[in-house]
Amino acid sequence: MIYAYAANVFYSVMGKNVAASLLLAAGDGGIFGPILDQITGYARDLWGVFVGLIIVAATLGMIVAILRGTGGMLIGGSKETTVAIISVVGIVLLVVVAFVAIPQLAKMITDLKPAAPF
Amino acid sequence: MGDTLQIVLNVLRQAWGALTLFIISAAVLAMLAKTLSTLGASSIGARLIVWESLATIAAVIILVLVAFVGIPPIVQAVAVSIPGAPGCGPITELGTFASGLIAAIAGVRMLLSIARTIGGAAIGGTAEVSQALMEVVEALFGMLLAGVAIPLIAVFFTAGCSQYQLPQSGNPFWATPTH
Repeated sequence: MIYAYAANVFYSVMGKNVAASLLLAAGDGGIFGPILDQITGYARDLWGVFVGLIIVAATLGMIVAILRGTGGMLIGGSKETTVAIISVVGIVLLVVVAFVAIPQLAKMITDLKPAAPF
Repeated sequence: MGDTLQIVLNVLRQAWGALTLFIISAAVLAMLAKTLSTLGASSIGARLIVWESLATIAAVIILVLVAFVGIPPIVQAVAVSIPGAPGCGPITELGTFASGLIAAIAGVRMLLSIARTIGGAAIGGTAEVSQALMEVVEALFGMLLAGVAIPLIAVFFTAGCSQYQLPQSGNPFWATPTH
């Protein structure tokens, strides 16, 4: 329940940040405007797909790690248990860094966008 | 010819803007795709794929910085160094037209090579930084060679054009020597 809520919050925060940056970046494309609109639409859809897949992959990865740790605890293997805990923490850190860092990088890249030098 | 040059330059400027937006979108999607790849690979214990994915994320960031911070000053510097076509007559106008377009075409070409590489990473491939930078250098050398060749060609075709006097009709192709 809490995990689903957190996933929804992450999804909405990431979506808003990146959508805002892309909207700010998107200006009048001139003759390339229609193509850019299509590409931006597909990019937004693909963003949603990737975010969903990341959440699914992270969930499955944590479940696999916990399963390994549980099996290790069952047979008395402390190393397996330790590796499992580290794996879970690592997956959570990776997902949080990705969901926070990538939108910030997108904003930074958008700010660096140069005008035509000719 | 000046109006034509401005029209073509406007199209190339719009292409530049479109490519920068594409690079931003593709870079963000590429980083997200490689994050997904890292997660999946770490779940199954494939360390090589984890490192490859992390390296691709770093490569995408490097390519974006090269595209947005490195290419514009290079294009500006080389554009300033390209001389206008000396001589007289229609060849000079063509030379001026060409020299105005060289920097624009080379700049768009460089940005296109980086956009293609980042786009490949966004759909799951690897970002080959070396390949992208080789294409950028190719475009740069092409621009420099064209910048050297155009004035030489203009001088070759208009050698001694000061010896000719235009007829009353003003058609330069019917110029006759004065001596």
